[in-house]
Amino acid sequence: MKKSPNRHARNTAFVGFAIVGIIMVAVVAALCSTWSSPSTANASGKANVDARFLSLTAGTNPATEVPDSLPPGGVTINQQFVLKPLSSSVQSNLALIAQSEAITIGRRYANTQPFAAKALLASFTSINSIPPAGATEPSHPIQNIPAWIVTFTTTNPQNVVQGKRVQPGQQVPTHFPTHLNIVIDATTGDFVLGFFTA
Amino acid sequence: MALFRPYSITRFSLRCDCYVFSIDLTYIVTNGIFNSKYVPIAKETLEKISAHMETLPIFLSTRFSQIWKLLIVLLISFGLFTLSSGSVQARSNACTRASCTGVGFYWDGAFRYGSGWGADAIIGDYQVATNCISSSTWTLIGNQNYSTALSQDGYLRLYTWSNSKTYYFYEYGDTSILYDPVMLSAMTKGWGSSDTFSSYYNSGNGYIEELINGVVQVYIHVDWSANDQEWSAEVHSNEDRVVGGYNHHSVFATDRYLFNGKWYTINAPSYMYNDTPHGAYSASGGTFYVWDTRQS
Repeated sequence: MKKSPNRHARNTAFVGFAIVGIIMVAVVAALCSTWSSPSTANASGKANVDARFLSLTAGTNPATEVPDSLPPGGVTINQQFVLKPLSSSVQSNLALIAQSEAITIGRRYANTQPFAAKALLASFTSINSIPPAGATEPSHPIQNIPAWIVTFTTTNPQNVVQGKRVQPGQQVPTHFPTHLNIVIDATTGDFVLGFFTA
Repeated sequence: MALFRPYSITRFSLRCDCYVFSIDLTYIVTNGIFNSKYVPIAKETLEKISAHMETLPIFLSTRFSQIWKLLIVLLISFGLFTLSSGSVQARSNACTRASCTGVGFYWDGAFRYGSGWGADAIIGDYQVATNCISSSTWTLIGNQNYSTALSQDGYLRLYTWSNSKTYYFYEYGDTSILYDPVMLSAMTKGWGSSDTFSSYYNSGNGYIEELINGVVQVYIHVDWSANDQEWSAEVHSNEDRVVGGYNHHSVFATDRYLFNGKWYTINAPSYMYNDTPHGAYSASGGTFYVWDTRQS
């Protein structure tokens, strides 16, 4: 059966509209993508994904606080710090300082008041301290350190953000964290790092 | 007199909270909400609360009726409940009103807005006296279009957490989030010492690197590129002391920015900014000095 000229014209118009529609959707999507990105973001060609993150955080659960106990795979706190369970072999082979001693040491660094404190034993990694592939400069990586994470809690939080001088109309961001976590090397008692959680 | 101790408020409690609490009691007394002859809470006890934060025994007259005692207990309970259960912001504001005035952000330093992927300086003669919230010095790069787009390192003292430790710290953010500062280690050097702080984007690996004395402390992955370089001291209230004193200035020496792969020393007097309540500065060439006018 021969197609009628009208039907052929309708099909041609439909295909035409479909192609134009697809092109428009693609253009709009591209524009939206451009607009949603900061105008200067990645102008220097930086990758969108931190290549270290996936490998260092594999198997961990995301968290915003230091937990009372660790899940088997550990946790990643605020996308910056990895806490994994310390293996029993490490615990038995290393002479680790006691929890109470870790808290005592931690109080040297959080000494404005006798804050409430707790401590968690973990293997500690600071993601940002790990050099990316190809880095050659002297650096100070903090990775898989057997550590006590001593968490101090205040009922009187103050803003800790330093920030920068902002432009007119911009607001200086603030944050009032309740917890200061002091990381103490569980073998030496040395201060490793201190970080805040909400 | 009978000792009536519904709560024991000790030094463990917070100065600001106690102070606010004591104001509430004073208000009750001075406004005659209770007849003074039935409320013999001595003035010195109230002063003791706010000034020394020692244990708070509340002495009540034996003539004091049980109903008034109950009301006092309820009042104290409500006050403590409010202090302990309010929002973080609310507690902070209470503290701010009580002990830190003029809370805000204040800087003494040099600020350069323009292309440039790095900033560094030798910051020396650090000393900071008493503070209320924080006092810091740092070098920074950022994107001026976003208040959170920054990466910095330097010295930081946070009174909330430590009244004697100054830390090396870094802080960074993306275009939509600013993370809290991270303390790298305690600074143990004294007057006359210095450290070199650098913040720069390494196009070789795609990370912003925060260095102290040439050693990379962290590699920061961000979603912005830099058009803002800053070298500054910063405080957050009237009571916070800027580093240095009028006889012992703190120094930001050899202040440089990175542009097209080359470091340039700034002409500091052209870039200075000062809005700290009690801070002052002088600048010459690529160096400037800051100090607190209340500090020798």
